Amino acid sequence: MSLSRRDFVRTLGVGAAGAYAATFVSARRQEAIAFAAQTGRSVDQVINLSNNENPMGPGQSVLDAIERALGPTGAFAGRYPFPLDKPLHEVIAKKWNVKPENVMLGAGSTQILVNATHMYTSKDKAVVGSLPTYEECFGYAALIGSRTKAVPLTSDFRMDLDKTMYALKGSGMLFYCNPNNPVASLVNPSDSKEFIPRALKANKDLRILVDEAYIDYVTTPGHETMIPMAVQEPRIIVARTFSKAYGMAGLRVGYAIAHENTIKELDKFHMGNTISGLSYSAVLAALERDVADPSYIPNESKRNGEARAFTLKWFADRGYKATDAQANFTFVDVAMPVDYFQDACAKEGVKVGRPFPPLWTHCRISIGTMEEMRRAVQVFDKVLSAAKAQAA
Amino acid sequence: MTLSRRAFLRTVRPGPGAMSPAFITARGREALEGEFGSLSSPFIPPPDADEIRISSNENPMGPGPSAVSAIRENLGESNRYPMNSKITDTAVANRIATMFGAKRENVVLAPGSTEILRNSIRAFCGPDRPLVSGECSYENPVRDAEYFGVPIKTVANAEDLSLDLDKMAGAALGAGLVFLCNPNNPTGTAHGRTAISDFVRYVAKESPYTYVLIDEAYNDYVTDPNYSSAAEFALKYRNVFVSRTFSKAFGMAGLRQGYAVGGPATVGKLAAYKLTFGTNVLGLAAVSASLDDPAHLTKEIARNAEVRKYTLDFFRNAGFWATDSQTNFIFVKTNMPAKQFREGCAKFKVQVGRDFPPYEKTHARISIGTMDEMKRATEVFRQVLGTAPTDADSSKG
Repeated sequence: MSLSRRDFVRTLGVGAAGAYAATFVSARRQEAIAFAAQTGRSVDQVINLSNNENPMGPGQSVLDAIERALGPTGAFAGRYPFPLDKPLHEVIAKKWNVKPENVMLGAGSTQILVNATHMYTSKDKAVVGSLPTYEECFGYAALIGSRTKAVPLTSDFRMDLDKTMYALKGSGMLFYCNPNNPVASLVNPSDSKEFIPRALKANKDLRILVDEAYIDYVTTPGHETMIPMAVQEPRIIVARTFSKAYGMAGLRVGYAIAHENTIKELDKFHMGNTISGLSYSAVLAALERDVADPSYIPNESKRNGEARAFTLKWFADRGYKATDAQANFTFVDVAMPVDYFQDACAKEGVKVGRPFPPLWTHCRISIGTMEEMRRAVQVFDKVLSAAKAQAA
Repeated sequence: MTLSRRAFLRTVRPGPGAMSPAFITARGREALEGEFGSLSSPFIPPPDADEIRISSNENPMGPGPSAVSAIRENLGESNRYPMNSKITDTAVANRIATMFGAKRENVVLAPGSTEILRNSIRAFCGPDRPLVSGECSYENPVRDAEYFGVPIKTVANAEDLSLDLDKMAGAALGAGLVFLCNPNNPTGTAHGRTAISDFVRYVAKESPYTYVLIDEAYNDYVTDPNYSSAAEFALKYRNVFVSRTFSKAFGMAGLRQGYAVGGPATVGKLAAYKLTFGTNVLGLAAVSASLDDPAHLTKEIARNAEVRKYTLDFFRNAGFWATDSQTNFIFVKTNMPAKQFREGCAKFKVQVGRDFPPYEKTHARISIGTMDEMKRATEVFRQVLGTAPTDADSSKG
């Protein structure tokens, strides 16, 4: 990695030299062309802030690893990736100082969420989560006829631990998405540490699935992963993904860390062979980079934090309330129906998040590059001003 | 190995057409490096250049130059979910639907056909709705049925080791799902259009609530002129659907791409169980490019048929019986336990197929590698089988 982080941002911004930046700019440009064609706008004005993707991509060393795995002929792509399965378990185990038996891989953490919901919920054993939260567990529960209990958020849009504790009685699994998608909030770190053991103690059959998809973007001091607790306590499962800070949403890799008996239990239902060989190679390279360059992910978090702070300040300065975002997205009360806001922004070339009922005036806005956010807020300004003028 | 990596890059990079001949002769250390060795990871064991992996019905050629170029061109999409990437999952599903003269709602994508097979059990079987499968067929549906508590009816294969369609049709009455692997893995046999047509018509009439899943993982490799895809029946009969994979003739086993085609209601039931964002964006790009390069597929089919014939001739000339393979593997009566044959071959770094009951004491499944690989492999087979009795006169399995 010869380009510095600063150089990256600059090249991405202006679309200049550098193989990595060039690849990314060209790809994003094509995406922009497609979106621009739909909106009838010029390409340079199109920005995708709708799905909490990482605008920086996976990084040069990861893309190089994919190229190398592919090799000159691409014959690698013709082979089942079985030989890479054990090494990846080992590398993840090493990263967290756990055993390979504590690790389960999935096609994104989605597959982990599905496995846990399948194993630990039923028509009698509800899945409990906040309203709203990431929908996968509730959605799968509905599919298989499991009971669901949705707990409203606190007034500051955090998971309401008191109400959750009440809902846990007789339930099968708590989906503990922290930071919570789509609201971006984090439970106070000391509250989390106290709540999880207490909830398990009070409910002997309960499992807690801790979704840490966005943990790398947390800036609240004192927040820690639940992985050490999970390897000790068979009723805790931690889900992780390479889709966010690692920039690989399209490569579909996630994993669970849990007690080895819990992994064995999940494995009965787990469907193997869902991960691409190129994705294995990419993730292995990213985990090697974690060792060789421990500042890489913190730097990505810092980049995101700066663009996030800029965006939040812009809204705050204009009197719009947003949650205390601890992820690569914000959740802002735009004081107008969010689908109207979404459509109006799309017409101006900015894709923002869809509605998340029941919060009909809140918009989830993913964090792009600083350059993208500077352009995006101009669009927000235009849309919000027009709405205000119309209301007045 | 005479071609350098640089030379390879030169031949491959310019685009389609340049790769194949050089690649066929050059596959060895270079190719293996391209497979598992060059990840620069301290955790990956170095590749064994001499190893011949003909155990998993993979395509030794990989996906071909158009697909490989598409992967390289789409590396920059790695950070986008498949609904936001340049080549979206929806676009690929539409492209596949068009190929069948069908619509988007007739197609569901999956990370390999594995997911289709599994979700078929979940969608169409139950405690009172058994699964019907050939006794010696692809094992995944039976395993999934066991896990989901679905009763299983297996039907012994016919004398030529093909699926016994008459007996399967009988077993189908009242079943939830018939798994009809055509061509059949591991026996390599295929039924022609008429036999499949009769089968699906019979089941639709006599047991209208029974679904028929025709697994066409290997269909591109069929050379029997009586064969044709059952996709036409999948679009005609409510209870018939077809699964396909890009793992075989399309050479993308590592990219995890497959799909099912059928009526909207049937496909909708499968889609309900599918993983969210199951297909990765580089695989989608590769699929899209290869569907636009039918000439490459034609070439791969001819290559496989030639090497398959060479390998079958070797066994038949040596006095060993083999099934009428229509796939990229063969099923041979080696007259020794598959384990013994497999371990014997492994000593010479040739990896062949696992046990396939009830024929594990006498038969082996051998995938078709490159011609170069099969020339080396047959020499190994000759040594390993040297002491085994042959049955040149036997006409059956």
